[in-house]
Amino acid sequence: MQKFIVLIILLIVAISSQSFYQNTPLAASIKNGQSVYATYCMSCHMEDGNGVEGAFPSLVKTNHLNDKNKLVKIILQGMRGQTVVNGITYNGEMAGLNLTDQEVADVINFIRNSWGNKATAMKITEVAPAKKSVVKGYQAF
Amino acid sequence: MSMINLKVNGKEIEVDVDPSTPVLWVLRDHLNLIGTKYGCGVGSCGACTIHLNGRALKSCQLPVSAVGKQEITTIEGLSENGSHPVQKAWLDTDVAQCGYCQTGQIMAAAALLKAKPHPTDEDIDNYMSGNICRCGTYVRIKEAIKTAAKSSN
Repeated sequence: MQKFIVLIILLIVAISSQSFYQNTPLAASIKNGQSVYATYCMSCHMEDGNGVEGAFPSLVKTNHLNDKNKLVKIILQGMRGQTVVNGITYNGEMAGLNLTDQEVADVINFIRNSWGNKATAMKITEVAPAKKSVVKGYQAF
Repeated sequence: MSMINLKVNGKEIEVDVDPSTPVLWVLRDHLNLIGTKYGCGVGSCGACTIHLNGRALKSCQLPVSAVGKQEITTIEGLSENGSHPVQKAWLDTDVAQCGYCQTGQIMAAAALLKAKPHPTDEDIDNYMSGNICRCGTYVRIKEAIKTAAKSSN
């Protein structure tokens, strides 16, 4: 009987740790974000995040992803104007996307934790205030 | 306006356009390559998909100045006589309904198969999700891509 109880407890611990591991908020958000990226971003920024020289900025290993407020605004309101990323000048246009706050947070988490980027999690509650924020030098589409 | 050199469907071409002109309009209005369609104009529907160095890209958002020496391929240049495996599979599967989006769909599918000759269902869903079909022919599009993948074995 004791063995049986120990076995059950071990099983519960194993299952819960496994599901906990898979469901850490950031990991789950990154996974969802990958699918948002494939649908809305990949055709310009490319599967490898390298973009297209001259038109669509690279998202690879860049400090341009530090400002979460700016990212939210770019994703939802698009962007115009010249920008320089990792020494390369880009001058394309991006239309804003019609995404939910959850999708915005997920795709930001995916981009900020892919291709050599590493960042803390963007919470869904941070999206709404970011929309109202004022970002210096940002030009909407 | 300025003279811009392009390589389109294997031919060297010089066009006199504003450098910020989207490639779509250079193709359609200046080079009369009207197989590439205008859909939304904001890179959201995929009707204007072309290949830039073999990668699928939406031409309505791409300024012509960004092309440089990269090679543009349009639906007219995908094959000489419609013999590309994706084009054949398209006909065999009867994919098109109204047909407006099919240029973009075919170009995207051809680029997908070039990068991944044997894509999984998930690969197809992910890669093709930027190309919208208002007639909803997605099931046949997927079937045609699988047929094309098999035929190029």
